[in-house]
Amino acid sequence: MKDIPPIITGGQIALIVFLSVIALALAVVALLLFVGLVRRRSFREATELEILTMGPLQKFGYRAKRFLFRVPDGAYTLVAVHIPALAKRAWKGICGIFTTLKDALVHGDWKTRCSFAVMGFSYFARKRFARGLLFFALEVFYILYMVLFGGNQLFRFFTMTEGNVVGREEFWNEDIGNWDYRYHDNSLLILIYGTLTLIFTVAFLYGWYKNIKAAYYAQELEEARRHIPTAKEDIHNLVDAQYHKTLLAVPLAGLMVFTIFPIIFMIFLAFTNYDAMHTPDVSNLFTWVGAQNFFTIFTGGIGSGNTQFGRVFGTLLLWTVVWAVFATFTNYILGMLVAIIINKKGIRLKKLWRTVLVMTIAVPQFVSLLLMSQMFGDNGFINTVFGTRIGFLTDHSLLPKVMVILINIWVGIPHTMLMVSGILMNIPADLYESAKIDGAGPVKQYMKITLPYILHVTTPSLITTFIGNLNNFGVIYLLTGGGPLMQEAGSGGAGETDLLITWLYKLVFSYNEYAMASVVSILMFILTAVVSLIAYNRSKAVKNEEDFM
Amino acid sequence: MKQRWITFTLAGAIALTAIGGLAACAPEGGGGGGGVDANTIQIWGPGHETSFIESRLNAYVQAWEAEHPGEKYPYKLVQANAGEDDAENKFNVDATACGDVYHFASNQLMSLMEAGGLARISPDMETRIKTEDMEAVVEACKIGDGYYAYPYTSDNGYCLFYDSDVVTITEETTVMDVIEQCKAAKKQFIMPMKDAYYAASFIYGAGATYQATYNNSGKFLSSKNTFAEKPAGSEYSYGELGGKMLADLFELSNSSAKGYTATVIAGGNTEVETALNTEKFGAAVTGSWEAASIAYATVNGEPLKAAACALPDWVSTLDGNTYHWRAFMGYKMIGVNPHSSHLAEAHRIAAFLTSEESQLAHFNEWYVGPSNKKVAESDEVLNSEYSFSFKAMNEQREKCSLPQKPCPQDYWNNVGSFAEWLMDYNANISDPKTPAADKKDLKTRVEQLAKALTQN
Repeated sequence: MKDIPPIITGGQIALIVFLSVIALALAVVALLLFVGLVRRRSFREATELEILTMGPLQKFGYRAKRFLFRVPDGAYTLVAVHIPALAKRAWKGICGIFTTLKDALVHGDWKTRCSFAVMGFSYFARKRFARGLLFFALEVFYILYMVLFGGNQLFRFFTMTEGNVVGREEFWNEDIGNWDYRYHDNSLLILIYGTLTLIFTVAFLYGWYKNIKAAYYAQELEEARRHIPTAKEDIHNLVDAQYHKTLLAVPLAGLMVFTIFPIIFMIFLAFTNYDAMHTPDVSNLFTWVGAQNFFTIFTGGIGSGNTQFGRVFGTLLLWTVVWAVFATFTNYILGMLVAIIINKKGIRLKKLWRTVLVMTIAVPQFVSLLLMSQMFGDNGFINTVFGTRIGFLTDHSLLPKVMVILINIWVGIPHTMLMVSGILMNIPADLYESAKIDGAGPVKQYMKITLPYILHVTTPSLITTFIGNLNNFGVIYLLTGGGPLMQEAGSGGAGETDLLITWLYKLVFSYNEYAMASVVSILMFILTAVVSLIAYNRSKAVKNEEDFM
Repeated sequence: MKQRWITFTLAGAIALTAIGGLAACAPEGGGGGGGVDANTIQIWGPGHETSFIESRLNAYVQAWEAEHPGEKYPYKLVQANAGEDDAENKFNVDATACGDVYHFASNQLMSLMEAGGLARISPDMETRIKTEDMEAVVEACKIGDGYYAYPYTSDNGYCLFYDSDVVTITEETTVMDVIEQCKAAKKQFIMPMKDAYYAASFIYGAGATYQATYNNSGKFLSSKNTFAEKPAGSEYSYGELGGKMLADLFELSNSSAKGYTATVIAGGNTEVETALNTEKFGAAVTGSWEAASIAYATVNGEPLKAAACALPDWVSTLDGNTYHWRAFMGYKMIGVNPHSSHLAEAHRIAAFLTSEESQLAHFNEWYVGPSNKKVAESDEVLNSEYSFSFKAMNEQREKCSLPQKPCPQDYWNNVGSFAEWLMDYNANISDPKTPAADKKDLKTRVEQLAKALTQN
């Protein structure tokens, strides 16, 4: 064990590496800005006529040059325009809150000022009791909650297992004639209630701010001798001008409870040491460890069980991206080809071919995958029939990876084929006729009419498929189970065909590495969110929404 | 306006449905002391023993009702399939949602304790198991001063099962002799070589040790091993000697050139079952759980001559010495979930399922070795034609076994990875085309394994 560096040293190294990475990123951004500024001036876009007069090689050269010049240009726009604009908007929003509070405090009358301490006071004083009561009830509820329950929870949330913490107690229970158990502290419950209390506190602060804003607004209305809405008018407003809010209230509440809260909880979990050796309620309860888990992953550090999480994460991330690219584009291109071939004039029995392919969709995908997994197993059908010993899904070479991509093509092509067939049938025939008259050959027609049409319609679906493939649990889990196991020591049970999502599953359900699993899922979320946002916003379907309509 | 109110009502209805749906999500059964039916007690057992466990539970209810004339048994006993090998994972995820009474393998004792999945058994029961069950099994149920599980079987390990028409075993027989006999008869030799439970058996056979220590609450403290150490007078470490033997077996299972195609199979229960069904079964390294299948199998319409013995010796191709083949030898136990709402009754059920009567019934149904001394020594068991498995396991235990102590998860992961590394080791080092830099280095890899398995 002496050869393995202690975690604290790893953390220090991690900090240095982390700061270096930030410095490097800043340097790259500065360079991009510089290149962007200089090159923007040095590159001139050619006109349509100039492009037409270019030879094929010249045209290729011009396009390549334009692409290269546009890369820093895009980065320049992102760094110099979009990000500052976003930051400015956020800053303005934050400043707006404090400006309102300051105005209410400085220019507010005594009724408004009292609302700082007693929520809804301004409305009581202005005889709008219903609204005042609502604000006041919120304050009372929050104070009672914090005094009776929340305050303690919040304190324990921050201190977690510090102090005298007892998990489970074993005692002799005479009534049942057996050893029995009492449960005291529970890290998981502390984390859940703490998170809830934090959310309540944020919600309360927002309510408090709205109370002051509303109080000041009511004062302004009063000063301008305008009418302050009554409770009846408020309710009427909720089903009229503010109807969107009423309707959105239920879905928003659902979103908060089922999506936002679990995400916040999961993010907190990433900063604890919750694993098989740290339980929530028995003994050795789990607690905060700061950003140690992130350092472990980013610096190739060693986690519990001597697992080299950094190396495993890096390897699996690379394979996940490679898989997503191949799985998406092989299916897309081949599916499109099949659709075009079937759709071609002169091809006989079109319905039959389509039906044959659709039949594979009719068989549940998991059945096909399990069958394939059995067929290509070490002692499976193929090896038995041909008397071979090929590890299609278990060899330590590229073979299992190629096999999962090929099998994915088998189960995926019919879907793309169906989708593209529908689009192909919708392309107006007169486009092709006019192209033919203008002398366009089949390739030209495909490149100028078919492909743009298909791409325009299917880009959003392509992005969804790509994201889906980044997280394609089913195919990998059912085909190889992530196997074969990585050969290196300290791989923590990760397999060579494991995607990040299947590794995540193993981390949770086989190895009980909850904290590390949270870290991995946060990183995966960032990856998928960034890819989908960039790809979707840059797609033609969004940019040129009016085309082809 | 009317449309808006309709929409509003619909939104409300959706919200109510969602709440209703949530209520329906409550776990069913008595696991963790909650659930729809407060009187439910859930019993988790391996899927293949479902009907057996059900018959024992029926017997328990009948016995209770016979003891309490005119009364109906007040609990609803529900059975669920959960493998003995999977208990720790399930308890680690959520002990409150697990069965009240459950089967598990002895190597999980500490992790189940750490996960809060084991309730301590009463002094009366302690006395019972100490008197009635084998000492080694009873000791394996002990953590600190208390006993936390009910002993159930005594032979949760592996040995060599074979068809005595194909394979003849003498004291001098080595594993390669067994394989040659299978090859000559065009039958199969099956071993789960990639499975970490079996993969390190040659390393232990060469003399290596592994030790993991835990505290009394089941928390893993440290582990050490001698995989990279050398036996006296040898230039190879235990890991190299055992690893090379496994690599030799892998080579035979991969090879089609030397006439071994489909002789040596790297596989487990599925492959054993397939071999039995296709009448290709020659020999297999497996456990008592396959005893019934092997005993019932037929060849050419005649019953297969099922036999079993301790694992044969092996000769190292590195130093030419002969070594024993050491097997993990553990036990199966029944535990009670401390979160059960009916703790006392759960203990009574566990006690019944591991009683003398139940263990005898278990042997008669599955030919699994009992931990109860009376049953193990009974004529009914010793004279049974299916006791070959039980006797072979005893032979293995006496000859060369490794009491299966609890191991942390990283043990299994790292040994599994080592086995995967060995798969093409022989091919890699013997291929003249492999560049020197790409040649696999067994010594370094064993050192890495030893390091990965060491924790302070």
